Amino acid sequence: MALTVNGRTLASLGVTARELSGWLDGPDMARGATPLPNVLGVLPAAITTSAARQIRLTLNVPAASLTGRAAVLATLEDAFAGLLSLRFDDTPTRIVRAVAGAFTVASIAPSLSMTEMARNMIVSVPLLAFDGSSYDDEPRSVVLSTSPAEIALGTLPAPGIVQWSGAWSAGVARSLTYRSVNGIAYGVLTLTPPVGALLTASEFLEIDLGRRYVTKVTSAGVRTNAYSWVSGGAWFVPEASDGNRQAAQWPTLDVSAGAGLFLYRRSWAL
Amino acid sequence: MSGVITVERWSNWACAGGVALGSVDVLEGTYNVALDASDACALTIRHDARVPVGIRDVLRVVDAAGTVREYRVQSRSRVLADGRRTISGLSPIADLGTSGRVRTIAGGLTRYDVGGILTPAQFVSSYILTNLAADGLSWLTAGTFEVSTLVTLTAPGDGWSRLDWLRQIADIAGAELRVRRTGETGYAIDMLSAIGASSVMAPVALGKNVIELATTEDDIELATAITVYGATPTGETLPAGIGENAWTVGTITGAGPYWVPLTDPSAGGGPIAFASQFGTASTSQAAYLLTKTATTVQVLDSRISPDQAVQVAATTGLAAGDLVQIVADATATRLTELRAPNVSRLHRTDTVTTLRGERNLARNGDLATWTSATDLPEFTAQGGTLPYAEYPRDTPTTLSSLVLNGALASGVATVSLRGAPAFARFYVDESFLVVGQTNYMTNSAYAVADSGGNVTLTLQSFTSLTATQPDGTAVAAFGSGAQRPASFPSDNANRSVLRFGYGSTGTSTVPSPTSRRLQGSALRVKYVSALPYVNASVGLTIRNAHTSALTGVNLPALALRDNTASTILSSVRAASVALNATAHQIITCESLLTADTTVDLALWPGAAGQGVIGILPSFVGVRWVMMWFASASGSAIPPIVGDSAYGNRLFQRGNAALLARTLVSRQIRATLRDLSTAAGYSITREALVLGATLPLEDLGVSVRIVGITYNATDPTAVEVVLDSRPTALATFLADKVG
Repeated sequence: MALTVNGRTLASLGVTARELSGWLDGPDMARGATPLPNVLGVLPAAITTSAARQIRLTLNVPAASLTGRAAVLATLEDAFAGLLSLRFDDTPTRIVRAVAGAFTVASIAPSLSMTEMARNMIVSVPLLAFDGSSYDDEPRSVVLSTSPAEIALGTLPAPGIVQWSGAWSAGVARSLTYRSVNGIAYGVLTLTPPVGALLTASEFLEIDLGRRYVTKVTSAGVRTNAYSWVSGGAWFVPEASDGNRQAAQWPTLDVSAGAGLFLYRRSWAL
Repeated sequence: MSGVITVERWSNWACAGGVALGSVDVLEGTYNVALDASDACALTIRHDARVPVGIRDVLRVVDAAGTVREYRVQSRSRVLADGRRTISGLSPIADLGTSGRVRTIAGGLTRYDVGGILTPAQFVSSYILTNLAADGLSWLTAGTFEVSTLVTLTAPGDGWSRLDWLRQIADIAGAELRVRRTGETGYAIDMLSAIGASSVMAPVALGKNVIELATTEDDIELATAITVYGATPTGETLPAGIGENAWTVGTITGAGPYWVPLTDPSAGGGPIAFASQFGTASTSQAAYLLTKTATTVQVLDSRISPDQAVQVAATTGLAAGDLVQIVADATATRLTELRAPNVSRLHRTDTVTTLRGERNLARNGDLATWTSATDLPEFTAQGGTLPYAEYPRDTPTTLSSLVLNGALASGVATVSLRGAPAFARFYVDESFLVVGQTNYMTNSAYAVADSGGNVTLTLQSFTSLTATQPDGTAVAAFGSGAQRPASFPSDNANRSVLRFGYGSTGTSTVPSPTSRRLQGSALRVKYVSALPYVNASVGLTIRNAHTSALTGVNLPALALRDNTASTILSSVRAASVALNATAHQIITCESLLTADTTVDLALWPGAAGQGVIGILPSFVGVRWVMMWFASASGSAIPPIVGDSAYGNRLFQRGNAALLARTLVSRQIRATLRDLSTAAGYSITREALVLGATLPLEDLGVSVRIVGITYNATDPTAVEVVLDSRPTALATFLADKVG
């Protein structure tokens, strides 16, 4: 069993895995339902609640000496601090985001735990993945133009960021169009620079489809809120159900003018 | 991300130039609409440092149907180290309460005690929609006004906000208030008879489409008898009540007993709310009709279908078109309360200090009805010919560009002019000078120019031309100096003024009771010892274009007459008018009665309209006429009212309250599942409309939707507040329950 933690192998951390469980388990979801009068059936609630996924990793952690345990554990805690990207060997191109809980530490020989012979440790690390999905480990970029460009997706929606460039004058409306695999426009977001605003050739507009930010970025890297440029349409997120994954046919994005780049990661349901 | 709705942070209302600043993630919360205009939202959002929602920001909520609702953030709260914020916001109507006082600036001072007797639409245009730019409300406009009842309202010295004004006007007029969004460009003020009245939803029932229904009943607002108190007039100790009411008699039907239909002269609600509300039955309220001949006719029964009518044994003293007063007994004791029939007694009071209770005994005293420009119903010229005509208050003060329309020979009796504004009015005794002549021509009959500005005037015989004049000769109107008033005070809803033509003066300050006068319809007053005084008052506008003051018998006069004896009971002459001045006066007289008396009110024009020939008034106009009862001498003049008495307003309010409050108070909160959102379709007939009527089959009542609360994250979950009272009376009853 092997995994990398934030790009580091267990071997580079000086530990080996004894046991791994739950890394492919899906989230435990609860969904309310409303019974309908006079109908044999229920109306599922629109909102679900889901518990965090629990991945349990048990490691063999050697120590050079009994008193060296603390340093080894400190190194291990540093490696498991913060938001982790975990990549498992059976899905080498995907990562899972998790945070580590408190370690459970035991001596390799519990009855001799405070002896040199039993200086090595068994450390159990609970990993909580609040997100019920995995992601491509490397982001993808798709060039956008006036011709629809396919957006390959996983099994879950993939909000991404559009970088839209090209000189753009005030009052000129441009559209970012999302089409399903059969070419039908499922979402259109129209932006129009208000009076006094424009985009030069060396600037670009950054549209975060997930967070619904619109930011103008100048050539010097100055970022300003350009949400007021949204003049019509509605926000959308590319979804796998708008394509045909088995046939590798995907929904598309295109811009009405200028050039763009769509940056995203595919996401996969667990 | 949010559910089907989207919420954005804006810098201000879109109509006020606001711009979108970012999208807001809603975690939970609700937004609602309500009949009492208390629309608000309460949302828990994910705090985003890039889109921080601040106090006074605007949240723009767009639901799946594309309906835009805006709320101004009134409060926000947070727990440190928690990424959530709780935001509450209010609809744009709340801005009308914080944008500043309604005010006028006069003589360098700002005054807030503005007011008048106007319709709701006139109040809005005259007061609410002023100083908009200064107060940041340029986006506010007048919308739809279904209620045109005259409202008497004046703000206190420290004034009211626009929202205070609107709530007061709606309360008194019996209207429902909404501030309606008109796209991205603004909001409009609506005052409707009933919001959503035209919408009737499909029936709602358990087993059909109701998941849960919770009702609570109590008798807190129940009432089966009600006394409505109005304002306490100046000089009086008792507040106004329903006693001084007046109803128009319709076509009497039957062959004995008879049904006498009664309606409100201003087309408001009639006097009867329940079948057999009034009558001789033990469960009915005893009542009599007080007629114009001072007789009382007992009411035997009353009905509400097919019309509102009372039953009487005989019709003596009653005729269609008469005004009658509903009183308590044969001696004309005034009514003080209204009772619902056939129920045990539970008495409440309702106080509305902004409503008066007087009745104008001078029929058509508000000059609201003109049969033609020279015929004012209920007033007749007596004692000789007395010309008068309707004079709109915006009549131009001068007429220029007049020329002879054809050559004019000397001595002719008529003159044709052209160059007048289309439909310009020309009045008796107005004078015109043909350029080149020395003598004025004087008009002897009211005339109106045609659409081309052409008019033919009939001249008074002594003012014919002395020489032939060619076509196109210029004609100067009216004479030297301003002969017509430059303006009028804003009163009586700015109705047209009655302008007198030539009159006669007599020699005494007290006018001769039989000399040439304009006389109102006679009324036989049934003497009531508690209301022994009869008062008369008139608003006059007098123009003196001369270089000396006008005094004495040349000025108009007012009198109360004993119509039977043709004697003066009491009179008053207008006060002197300074040189080259326009005086707007109110003159009043009173008479103490001791027995039943037939009275009338009469007006003497003085030397009206003869300003060209001497130091005489060039203009005498009557703006309104009032006649009323009082308990003591020196009664203050009530606000001007027409045939529909102020007492009728209190009467109608009392009946409306009884109708609403004889039902056990029942407010219902229903939780609904909006399946259309889940299924992706909507059925128009089942759409939730604020104010619509909702038949509740299980409870056997029809209720009204008084509030709708939408779930911000679950569009299928809607909470509806329903009220079982026939109209949403919570607004004006809530603070008056006694």
